[in-house]
Formats: sequence, structure tokens, C-alpha cells
Amino acid sequence: MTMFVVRRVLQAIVIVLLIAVAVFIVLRLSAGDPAKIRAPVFARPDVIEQYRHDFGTDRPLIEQLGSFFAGALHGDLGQSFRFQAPVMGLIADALPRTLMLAAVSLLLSLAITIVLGSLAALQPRSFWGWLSSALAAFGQSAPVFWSGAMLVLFFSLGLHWLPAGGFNGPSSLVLPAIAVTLSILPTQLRVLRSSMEGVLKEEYIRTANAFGVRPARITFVYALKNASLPLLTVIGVDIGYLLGGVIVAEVIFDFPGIGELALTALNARDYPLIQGITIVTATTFVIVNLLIDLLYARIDPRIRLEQP
Amino acid sequence: MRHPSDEHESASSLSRRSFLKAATAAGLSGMAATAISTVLPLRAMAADGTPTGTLTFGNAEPPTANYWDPAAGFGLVDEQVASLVHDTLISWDENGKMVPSIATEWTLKSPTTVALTIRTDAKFHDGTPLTAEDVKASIDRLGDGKLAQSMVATPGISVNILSPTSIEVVSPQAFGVILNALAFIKILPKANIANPDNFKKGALGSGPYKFVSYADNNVTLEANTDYWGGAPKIKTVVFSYIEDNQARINALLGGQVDILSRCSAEDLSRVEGNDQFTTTKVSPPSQIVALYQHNGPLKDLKLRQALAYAIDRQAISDSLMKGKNPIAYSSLPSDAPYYKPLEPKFAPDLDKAAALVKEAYPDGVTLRMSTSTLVPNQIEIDQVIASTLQSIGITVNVERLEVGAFRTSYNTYDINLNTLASFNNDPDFILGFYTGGTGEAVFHFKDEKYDELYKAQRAATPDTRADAVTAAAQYLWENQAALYLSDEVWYFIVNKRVQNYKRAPLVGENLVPQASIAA
Repeated sequence: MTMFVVRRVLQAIVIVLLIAVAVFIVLRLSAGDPAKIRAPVFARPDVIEQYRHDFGTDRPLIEQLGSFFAGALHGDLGQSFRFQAPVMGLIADALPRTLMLAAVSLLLSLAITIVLGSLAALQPRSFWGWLSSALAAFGQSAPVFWSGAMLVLFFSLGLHWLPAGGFNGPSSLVLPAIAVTLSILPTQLRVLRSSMEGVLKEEYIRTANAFGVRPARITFVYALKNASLPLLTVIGVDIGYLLGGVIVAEVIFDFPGIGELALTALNARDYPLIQGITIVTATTFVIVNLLIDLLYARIDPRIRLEQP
Repeated sequence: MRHPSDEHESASSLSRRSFLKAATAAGLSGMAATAISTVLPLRAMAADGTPTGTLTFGNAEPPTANYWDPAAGFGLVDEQVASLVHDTLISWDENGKMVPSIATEWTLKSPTTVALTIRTDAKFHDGTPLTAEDVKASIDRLGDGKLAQSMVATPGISVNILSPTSIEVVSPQAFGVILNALAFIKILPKANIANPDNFKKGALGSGPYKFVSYADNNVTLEANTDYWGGAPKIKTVVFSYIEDNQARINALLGGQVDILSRCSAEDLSRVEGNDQFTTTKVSPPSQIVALYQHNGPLKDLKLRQALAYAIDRQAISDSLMKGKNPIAYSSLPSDAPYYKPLEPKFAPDLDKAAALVKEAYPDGVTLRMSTSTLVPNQIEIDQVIASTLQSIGITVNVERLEVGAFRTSYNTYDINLNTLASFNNDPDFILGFYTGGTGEAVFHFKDEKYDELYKAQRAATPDTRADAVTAAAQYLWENQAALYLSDEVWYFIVNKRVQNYKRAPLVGENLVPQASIAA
């Protein structure tokens, strides 16, 4: 177990380093000179050159890469060209909001998935089975930009119950979270339902029924535990999607999270900020995946983490 | 000339021509006239009681930079902030009349000299008194010609201090719109001008609002309760940058934003018939949407003319802008003072355009274009322009940029859509974009003949000014220094909870101190 964790942590470090190098190189190969973009329109060539010097983009690539990693080791991801502020500070402002949005969306979708997916698996031809299929189909066919706009139209502009955008406390989370939940729900629902249907046919479930164990206990304790393994994989992928910033939702709701920040950074050719966001989200994603692997073993003791 | 639609719009709308009349009455044409005003400062009438409430603007653009020198920026937000944080020597009221501000009275002694008396009770927000030395430092530096806003002044303009309350502003050349310049130039602490690094810390002025912060895309100002003209009525003013157009209009309709600036025709249709909102506009609009510049291939006049023949401006205005933006046949907006439709009309003719391209660049030509969401419908307009140019043999590479990045980099591309917003009520301001250091910086445009024409309109008497302005505009038009797309009228949608909101015919918000927020 310890060896597994150590190996995976080392793997994670290599992955993050490779991602950082790849992003660094791709950004510098892409079009647009940050100095020309950021310098005032009235800037003379010597002023633009000064900007290049300040940004460090006048130095050889390898030197830029070296100082970037040297800074990153000390928690300094550089200065944003666009915001003229430390990258770490900008990420520290935006990331908690995205994490909140991700957590609320994930919890909401899991609550629906577990209850509805289990009921639908137990009684496929019932109302719950129909509702599960309908919700999955709706979620899959309604893109976030549409569902988000509809939610704003109805709840914000029509009923005036919730804010249409921005971030001013918990109420600002509700509509973006519903929109994001609708986008991740279908896969979770389908995976849990089909996995649960398989597990419910297992012999140990039949035995538990024969022993007179309460159906609710059989479903939500014995069956759910085993049926949730594939769901765990889906959750891992979903977390990556959510942490990358649910860009469309954040833009529609003017939600100042990491996705909106990333989009601004990309369109502003803000190299340090793009690099910083990529590294932070990649690191978080790798850590989450490691935790999910560990959770596999916790849920299913048959899974051995030590590799032969 | 007022548009018929003005009738149902805010009374604050003011036509360019009537504004000019007002400006003329204020002393522009009467060189010997003495404009000693006994009118109380406008803001003194507005202030009463403790400021309350928050007024939030929803803007499509951020400040140019986190660098708060008002003479270094040209953006809408830059000027919104500057107009509230800083004072000017002369101010405008809602009717376009010049009123006292830091200067309590003034006399236009000659086409080059204005004598002014300055008040002694104005203080900067850090408590230091505003003096004649601060006024001198603020104006003299524009005469050096190194700042973005030097174009509003004349090279060498300077202030002579006659006494602590008496000064003379002197231009080396005839400067017919000198009072307009003094109604625009912001007065800053001399200490900040001497140490520009202070501009990175925030804006420090003597105006009715104090700069508080710039964070999370919001610029926040707070009422200056010690203001010489009395405290404003609204406690907090926020200029919020929301890049996405849908999110911006939703924020207005949902009540998170009180005033939406630079609205598109689609935005206007969203509030049509909704009695919760009123619509106002900056009129004279003073905005032109232009395609420019003369980097690389566009140095060739034939190519610039090909663009003019290719792009169907009327069709773009009718379809994408739903007819809200008139088409001008000049380098000036159609309701600018002295506007005159010019020849040739450059009527759309794709065959002629393609032939001109072939003539100029037989092997084809590629243009780099940047786009953003700064101008209403910009991406859609740019798509039409790019596809039209493709059809006449021009390859267009389009790069999408964030608004802030777009605003600071447009002249590094060959072509893009932009707006020249007049911060001044006179055609001199728009014409000034094509001359001197400004012309070179903005358009990479340097033309000695045009420089002469520009100087001539500045030095012209009221009797000869119209012809002089037309001659300068004609030169720009024939040479297609910029491709004039349309007058981009700046429509603002205002929530009715904001009471007594008026706009002076300027880009800034100098009349906000009179407004209040309904409980």
C-alpha cells in the first residue's frame, strides 16, 4: 500500500512536470506577443521592448523555463500579464469558488443518482425507471449553455428568486450548480443504474433477501457498495471536468471561477496565468485520481493496490 | 440634429449640433467674450445629506490597465472613473453648457490665452489642498506631447501662475477649442505627476468620488463627503466588467447591475416595453466604428479603397445593428458639427473591389484581424467583414482576444473593428486621432498634408471653421485613412431605481453625483 502511494505520487509529479513543460512550449509557439498585447497602444518600440524585458519573454526559452520552475518550487507562479497581479493570488481567489460550485454540483448529482438510480434498478418499469431515463435523456440533450440560459430566464428574470450572475454568496451557486448537475447527471445515472441492475441479480443479494434483511438495507448498503465502483470511475472523470472550471457555465453565469479566469487568460495570451491554472488544476486532478484509486481498495477489498 | 426616436428617450440626450451651439455660447466663438459665471457649481446643488446606496454599471470592457493616470488611457471605464475621481477646471452640465468647477470664472482673452480664477477650497482625497501648482503640472505635461491624451491639447501648451488663485493657460498656436480642452483635462496632484509610480497605487483626485479598489473586474468608488461641491447622493459606485453579452444583459434584468453601457440593438429589444427601464444615449454620440490601419499591406491606397468598395456598410447596419447606427459618408459621425456627406460614396461594388486588390497585390494578400466583444455585435460584424474580404481575394486571419487584451493591442494587427469615442464635443477630437504622435501610434498614419489641414481647422475662425473641418475630413475620406463603418451610438439602459441619472455629452459620468438610488 505504501509503495503504491509513493509510486503514484512520483508518477503524479512527473505527469504535472510534463504537462507544465508542454503548456510552456505550446504557449510560446502560439501566435501573439504578450508585450505587444499588454503595452499601451501608444507605446514606442523601446517601451514594448521594456515590457518584453519585464515579462522575461526576451530571454532564451530554456532560461524562461528554468526561472519558471525555480519560482514554482517556491510557490511563485509569476505575475499575470493581464491582471498585473501574482498568479497564485488570482488562482487562490478563483479556485475556492470553482471548488464550491464543483462540490455542490457533485453532491447534488450524486444524491439524485443514488436515490433515483437505485430505485430505477429495483423497479425498472415503474415511474422511477421512467423518470431516470427521462432525466438522463434530457440532461444529455440539453447543453449547459441552453439549460443555463433557461434557468436564468425562469428563475432570475421571470421569478426574480435567484441572481442571474456574479458571486454574492450561496444564492449565486444555485443556478450554476443546477446547470452543471444536469450536464454530469446522465452518465452517473446510467452507470449506477446498469451496475446496480447487475449487482441486484447476484447470489448474495438473493441470500440476503432469503434471510429477511430489509430491502432498503439490501439496496442502499449491500448492493450500492458494490455497484458504486464504476460510478467512482465516472466521478473521477467528472471531478476533472469540474475542476478544469465548468467554463461554459461560468461564462453564462458570470461566475468568477477558475474556468472564466482560464478563458480570460487564454484570450489575453497571459502565459503565466495559463501555466499556473494548468498546473494547479492538473495537480488537483492527479491527486483526486490517486484518492479515487485508494477508495477503490477501501470499497472493494478484492482490489490489490500493490502491483506484481 | 435629434433623431425622431429621441422623443421617448431620456432628456439627457443632446445633439451634437445643439451642443456646439451651447459651447459656442459659452465662449468658443466669442473670443473676446467673458464667461464669468455666477452659477453655483452644479454638484453643490446635488449634494444634501448622507450618501446612500450603490450604483453598479455593467460594462463590456475593463480599465485599460491597473495604472490610474487619466491622461494615459482612452477607454470608456478609464474616463468613467476619471470623471468622478478627478476635477477639471471647467465642467459641463446636462444641457451642454460649460459651468464652473475648479475654475470659478474664466475669460477667453485671445485664440491662444484663457485667464482663469481657481477656487481655494478644493482638496485632494489625501487631504492636501489643490493649488495652482497642481493645475500647472497637470496641463503642462500634456504640452510635452508624450501622453496618450496630449492630442486634446496643443504642443507647448502651458500655465502661467499669476497668483495662488489666478492663472493663464497659454497655447503657442491658435487653439479654437481651448475651453473644451480645459473641460476635459483632469487636475492631478503635482506629487503624483512627479512620481508616476503612484499611479499604480490607485487614482488620487479631488473629485466627488474616491477610488477604493480594482478587484474581481470591479472598480469601486466611494462618495467624497468632504467634496467642495457637497457630498454626492450615492455612496458607492461600481464599474463592473462583464465580458459575455448575455451575462451582462441578464445581470441588468436580474437587478445585479443598474446601468448597462454600450448596448446592442438586441439588448435594447430585451427591455422594449419594460417600464422598469429607460434608455438614454450619449448624444452627440461622437463614436465612429473604424477599420484601420496602415501596417504592412494596408499602406497601399488601392487596397484600402478596395475594402471601402467591398464592405456593404448599410447592409451591416440594417441587419446586425437593426438600423440603430446611422451611416456617415465622411470621416466624421453623421451628426457631428460641420458634418457634410463627401464624395466618392464608395458604394458597394465587389467587382471593382476585387480588381483593386488584383491591381495592388496580383499574388494575393493576407490581413491579420483581431476581434473581441468590445463593440456591440463585434464578432458578427467581423465575420461579415472577413467573409466579404475573402470573396475579393483577401485572406483574413482572425484572432479572438479578450477585451482588455484587444484594447491594448489593436494596432499590432492589420485590421479590426473599433470605436473612436469622442471625449470632446468638437470634431477636432476625432480629427486629432490622425495627426502627430497620436496618429502614428493609433493608425501608423503620418501625413504632412493632413497635419497642415488639421492645424488649419484648429486655427480657423468661426466663419471659416466649417470649410476647414470639411477639408480635413475630405482628405481622410479620400485616402480611407480609416474605413468608417457607422456612427456607433452609445445606448445606455438604466434601471428606474436610479433617479435623476443624466449624461453630459461626454464619455465620462460627471453628472452621477446628482443621481440617487430609490429606496
